[in-house]
Amino acid sequence: MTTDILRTTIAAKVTMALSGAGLVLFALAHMAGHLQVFGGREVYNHYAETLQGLGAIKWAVRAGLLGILLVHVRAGVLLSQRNRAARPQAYALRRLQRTTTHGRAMLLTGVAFLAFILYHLAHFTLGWVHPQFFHAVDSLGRPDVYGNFVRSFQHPLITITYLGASLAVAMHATHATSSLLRTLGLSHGRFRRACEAAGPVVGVALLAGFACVPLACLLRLIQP
Amino acid sequence: MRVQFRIWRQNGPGDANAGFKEYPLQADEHMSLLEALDLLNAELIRKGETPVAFEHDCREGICGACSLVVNGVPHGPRSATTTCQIHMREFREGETIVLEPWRARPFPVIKDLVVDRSAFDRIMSAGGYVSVRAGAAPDANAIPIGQPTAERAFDFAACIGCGACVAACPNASAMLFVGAKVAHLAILPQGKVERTRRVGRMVERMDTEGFGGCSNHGECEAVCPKSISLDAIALLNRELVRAAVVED
Repeated sequence: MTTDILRTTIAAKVTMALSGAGLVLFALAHMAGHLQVFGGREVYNHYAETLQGLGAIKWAVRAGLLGILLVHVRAGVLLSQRNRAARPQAYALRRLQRTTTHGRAMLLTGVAFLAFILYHLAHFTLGWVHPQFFHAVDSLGRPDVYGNFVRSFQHPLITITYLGASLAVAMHATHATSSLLRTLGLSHGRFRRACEAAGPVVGVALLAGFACVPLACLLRLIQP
Repeated sequence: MRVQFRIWRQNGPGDANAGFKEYPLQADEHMSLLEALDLLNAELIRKGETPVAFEHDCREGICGACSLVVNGVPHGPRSATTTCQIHMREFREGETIVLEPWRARPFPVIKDLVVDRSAFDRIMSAGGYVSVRAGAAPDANAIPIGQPTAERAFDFAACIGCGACVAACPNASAMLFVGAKVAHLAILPQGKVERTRRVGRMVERMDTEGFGGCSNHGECEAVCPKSISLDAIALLNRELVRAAVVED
């Protein structure tokens, strides 16, 4: 008798972990890219133009990210439905011992972040939500992404939205990173402490790296 | 000492009138919690009422029969301790002690605080064994096993199958239990032979029984009376990934 290993819940968890790892790596790269705004208009607009100039590669990466995101969300929905069904009657009293706020809020931060991604695309990729910042060009005739970026974040509401999203993604990635290392079977024995520390390290890096940019614009530390 | 018990009463599976009932009790602080329940039951029987059903066997922390959620924590307030090893001195004078059964779909309530844990037996029947005759006790020494390996296997073998991990898990996942069994056998040469087949069968049975999946909250490790480490879950995951790519 053979078993269908790919249909087990652990296989779904591994799918979740691998797609999640891809998304965490993308988030870190995305964050590092946008820290270049501190380098000024020339550096940032050059970076933006380089990315836009990748053509087919750009579209392949976009399609890949969308695919990974869909796989991640689908596995997450299936697993959380199953988890809910496993305890039809809740405890009248349950004192949790170990779990964290960000660990318990994975579904919430995930859904919040999904909504944010739609807004973020409409803001910087499609230029729908704040078109007044979107269509400017710089002195070399390139799209002035730097100006759009900095002027956008001088609006407190936009900055607050991005700060909220930074917090959500940082909370999500904190639990996710340590979690996926266990799901992939790496977090045990002498590696366990390092794997458990990796989550908070990634989370803090994402929060600091993402939040400092809109904050710097709002506080006029970066000028358009 | 006077305490107030608040106990889940349920007259059989699917009892629509199930709910909590309060029972005051004059107990002794040196009694174990289960002895206090014995005393309460003696009083209930004297009054012609139905005694509270709860599971217990060895009462020395090694069998895994006792299974109470005490004040919101499976096996109660002491870490690395079974319910039967909890004494009344853990509680305050006049305290309300809430007792609930393990709650999980694969562990249906039979009566009051007793749940049916045969789902664990079915997982074990699916693969938690060594098929060959491993011999009698002296034969264990025929294959030399290094001390660190033996110790590590024993840490996982310490699992008594009480089900507290499932009771504590926000997802009612059985992965600490299954992980302990899979890791224990996969580490030792006698168990290695069937490791690929074993993990697939046990995980498949675990899913069929309706347990949830692990979301790495660590609640299971926190309540486990035998301190089974979350390493068991990492090793279970690793064994399953290995089984997906390696032929037996």
